Amino acid sequence: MAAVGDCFSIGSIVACKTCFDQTVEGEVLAFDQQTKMLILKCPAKASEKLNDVYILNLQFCSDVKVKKEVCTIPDTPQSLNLQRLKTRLRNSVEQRQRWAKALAAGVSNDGLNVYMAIAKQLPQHVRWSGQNIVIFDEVTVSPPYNLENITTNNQGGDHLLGYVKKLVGQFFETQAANAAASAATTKNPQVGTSNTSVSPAPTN
Amino acid sequence: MSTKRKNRPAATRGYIHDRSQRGRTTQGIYNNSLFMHAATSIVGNLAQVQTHSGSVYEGIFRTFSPNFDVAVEYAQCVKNNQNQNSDASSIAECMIFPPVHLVSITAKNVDLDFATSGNFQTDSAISARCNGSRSEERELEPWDPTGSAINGELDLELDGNANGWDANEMFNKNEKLYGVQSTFDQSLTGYTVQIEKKDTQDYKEAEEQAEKIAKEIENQANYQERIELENGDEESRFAAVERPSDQSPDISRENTNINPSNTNMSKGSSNDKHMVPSKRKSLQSGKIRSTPPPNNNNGPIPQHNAHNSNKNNNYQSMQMQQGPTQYMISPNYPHNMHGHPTNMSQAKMNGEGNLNNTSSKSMPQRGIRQYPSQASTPNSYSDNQSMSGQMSMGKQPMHMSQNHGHIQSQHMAGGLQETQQPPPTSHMTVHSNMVNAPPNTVGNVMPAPQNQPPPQPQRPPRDPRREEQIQELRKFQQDFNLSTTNQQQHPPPMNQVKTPSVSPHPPQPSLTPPQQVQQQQLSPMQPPPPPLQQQHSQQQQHHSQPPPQHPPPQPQQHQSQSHSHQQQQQQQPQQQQTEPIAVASTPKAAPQQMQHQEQQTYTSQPPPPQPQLQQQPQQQQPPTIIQPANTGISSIPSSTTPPQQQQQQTPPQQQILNNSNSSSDPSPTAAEKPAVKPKHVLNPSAKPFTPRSPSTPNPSRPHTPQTPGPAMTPNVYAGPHMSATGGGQITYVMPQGSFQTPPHGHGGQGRLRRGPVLGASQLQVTAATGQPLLTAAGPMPTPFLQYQQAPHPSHYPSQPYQQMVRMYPEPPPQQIQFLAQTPPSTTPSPGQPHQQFHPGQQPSPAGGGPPAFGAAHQPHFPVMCLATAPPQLVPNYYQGAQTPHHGQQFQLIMQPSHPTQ
Repeated sequence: MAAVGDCFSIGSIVACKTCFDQTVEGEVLAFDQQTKMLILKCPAKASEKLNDVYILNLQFCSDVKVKKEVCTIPDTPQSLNLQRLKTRLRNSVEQRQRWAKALAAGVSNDGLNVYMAIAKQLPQHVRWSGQNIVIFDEVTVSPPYNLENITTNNQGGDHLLGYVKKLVGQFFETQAANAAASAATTKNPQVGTSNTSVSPAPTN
Repeated sequence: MSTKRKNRPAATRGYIHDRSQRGRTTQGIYNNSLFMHAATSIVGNLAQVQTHSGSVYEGIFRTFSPNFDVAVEYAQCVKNNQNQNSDASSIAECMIFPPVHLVSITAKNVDLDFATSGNFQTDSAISARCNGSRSEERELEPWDPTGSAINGELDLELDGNANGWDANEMFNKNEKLYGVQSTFDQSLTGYTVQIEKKDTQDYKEAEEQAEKIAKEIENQANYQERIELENGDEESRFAAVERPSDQSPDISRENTNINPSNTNMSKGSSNDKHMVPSKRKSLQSGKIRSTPPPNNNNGPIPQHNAHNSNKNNNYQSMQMQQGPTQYMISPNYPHNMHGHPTNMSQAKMNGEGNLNNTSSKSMPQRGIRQYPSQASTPNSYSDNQSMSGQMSMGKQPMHMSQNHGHIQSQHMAGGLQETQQPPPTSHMTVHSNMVNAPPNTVGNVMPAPQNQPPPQPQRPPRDPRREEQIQELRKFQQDFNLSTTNQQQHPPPMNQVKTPSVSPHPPQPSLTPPQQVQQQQLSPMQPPPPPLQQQHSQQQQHHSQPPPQHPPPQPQQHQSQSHSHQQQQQQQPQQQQTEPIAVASTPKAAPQQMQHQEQQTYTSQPPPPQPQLQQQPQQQQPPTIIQPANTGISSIPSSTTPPQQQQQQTPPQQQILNNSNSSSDPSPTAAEKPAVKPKHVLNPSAKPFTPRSPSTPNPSRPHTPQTPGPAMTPNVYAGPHMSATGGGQITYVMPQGSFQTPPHGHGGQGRLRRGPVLGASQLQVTAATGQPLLTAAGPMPTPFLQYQQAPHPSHYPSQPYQQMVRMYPEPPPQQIQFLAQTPPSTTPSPGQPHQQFHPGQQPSPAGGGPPAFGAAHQPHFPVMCLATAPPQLVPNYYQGAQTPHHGQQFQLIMQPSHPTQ
């Protein structure tokens, strides 16, 4: 559609506007002429180390502008560690699954966040039991998912109970800190979920 | 469909691999490495896919096809413009979006380096990630012991004074807390072959043999040293300054030991045989240099005695060995040889004597220390003489035998005594029996003899070795003369003693009394022996010195030497007397203690002697000083040697003998005495040092064990002191002394008081130098002792001592006592006699003390006693002594009989 050069030089700054009037500007990572797919990298708002990657179908974009063109020949990209990518993918999927299950359970965002926080440390041992989060079949976190709502059915399981309380406590602390820092992150439950899902992925 | 599509992507991915790895040609976008790289790096991230329809789906970007069909896992329709009824709950497990429907794919917060960096992480890379968390590390805080210290410390500490845990305690705790049962077996069955105890004669014999060997080993100086090194408490030994009383005894012992060392030295020079190699070396090595010459000069005889005493001392340290060696030594001397039967008995006694030795050991140890300190032979001589005197009284016989020199010196002293004795004779007259003792006392009392002795000793030492036999013969003659004279002299002491018995001057008298008693006993015994011994000694001395002069001087010398040694401290005689007095004040037991104390004091004094040792000549000189003070005897000896002695004395006093001088000075007055004591304390401290430096260490070490028990040591010391003069004999002497002390003490006190300065000073001096012994033994004993020493002097002494003890109760009984004494000596000479006489002493020595006494007796007496049944011995002695038996011993015995008679 738009007049796009045969080639975008890698590293050039390009700005374009989608069909939904969304303007995207970023550094060109790659471009495929066949599919007219342009991959742009934009600095992430959350952290400079992270980037927002946009894959744009230039067939639905307009006003493509090259803000800055770089003529240097791109270095051969480093080989990717596919194993790590696979691991990240698997973990992300599992987390997504849990999130989906929680979502299916009709749990509130707080419950969902608590659940995700616990799942981060004990991914294999956390499950939903209705509205309750059950860890190791011993400790139960029931709505509204505060510290006082954490109970255990094992008289001798003080150890696990204490550990869960500690996890939840830390989650609340970080959540409060984040809320203070920026209210935006918590506005959208999706964002929150996305954050939670994203954060674990990279670590893996 | 989905599955197919999934498969496709998978296949494509495979292609990617192939292409990248194998270089295969790939389809579509897979040929675009950059695009593939960028797209793949997003895999696994949460992505929002906006479709052409305007709907937005959020899910995990999973893969893409060559055509760039995108597969998204768990896609949820976030925004559905077309279908308002999109359910939040509707989550597709996997959605594939064809490129034609794609408007954009947005992945937020993607770590583009995740797939590329992470392959290999360096420490820095890892740490780089952890920076944030690291900053949270807590700061290190210094531990403050004060804060929680109180509780913590208390928890950490064991029970306050507990020295670790008792093994049983640990076992119990383990059992309580952890249920651990200890399998510890005291017999170490698992590690050793257990001895099967059989009730057979052979087994018992073997057991006894083993016990005997064990004792021998344990009594060896080397063994003692090593044990001491391992378990000994040097601190306690050398902490004398803080514990004057304890140390002082040690010092006294040391003094005695020192004397022995001197004697050893002399012996080494004169008689190598007698010298125990180790002992001699040790003793000689350190002190010999300084002391030896003086010893030689002072009096070979003293040396002999000293040797005996030294040996005894050494023996004490080495007990077993020493005892035997002493015997051996004694045998070497003709007299001793004569006494062989006795020697044999002695040897037996030695076996028993070991016990005594043990007690005596303490003495040797101390003696060792003293040796270095008192290197001065005079002291040793004086001590030796005193020892000999004591020996004569009790155990010293061995010493006596060995102490030919001493004997000689005694003989000499006897001669001197004769000259000197005349005055004493009056005293002597008082106690016929005592007469013998009196000589000692006289000698002690007689400062002059002391003065003379020093010079004589010097001469005698040389001669004795050479012409011991000839001298012995001469000595015998002289001794006989001397003995008579001695007897005369003795009487005075007896008088004194008697007076002490009265308890006018118990303390001093007591001191002298023991000596006197011993002397008396000895004297009776001695008279006969003296001749032999005296002859020997005298002969020796004569050889070295003009016989006439020597004999008189020798006796005097012996005494004087003893005195000199004591006197070296100047006041030794006096001290002895003082000691006797003290003893006298206290009953026998008390006397013993007193003696012990006195001995201690002597010991304390010995330290000064150490300095003196260096200045031995000076010490000798001091004796000379004493001599003048003592009596006319000094005049005689002085005539011969006195001047020198006096000169020497003066210097020593000034130089080294400051203590002695001080002691001498103080001696005059009771007040001064205390001062002397303090000096003693000082001396003790000094002694420790000396012992260490010289060879003394060995003796000291053995003593050290004893030292641990101050009470024990004191007793031992007392015993030693008693024996100290003669070594083991001292012990007997002590008891005797105690007994005798009363009479002598009286006499001695009288004398002491008479020789006012000397009394106090002597006491102190004696304490320091061990003069007491000398004084006690010195005057009377020495001669007697000498006699006794050669053959059975020791026996005599021991017996005499025993008798003396009895004597105390009853002077006349002395004869009986002699008999009685002999029996005890014969059987377990140490045992019975000790029991009887030493009961008091034994308590203190208890473990070591009594044995020491026994040992001491044994060494000297034991042999004698053992050889001849006490009673029998006496007769034998009389017979043998007079004729076949070792001249000295028999003579000694004879002497006792004579005196008794």
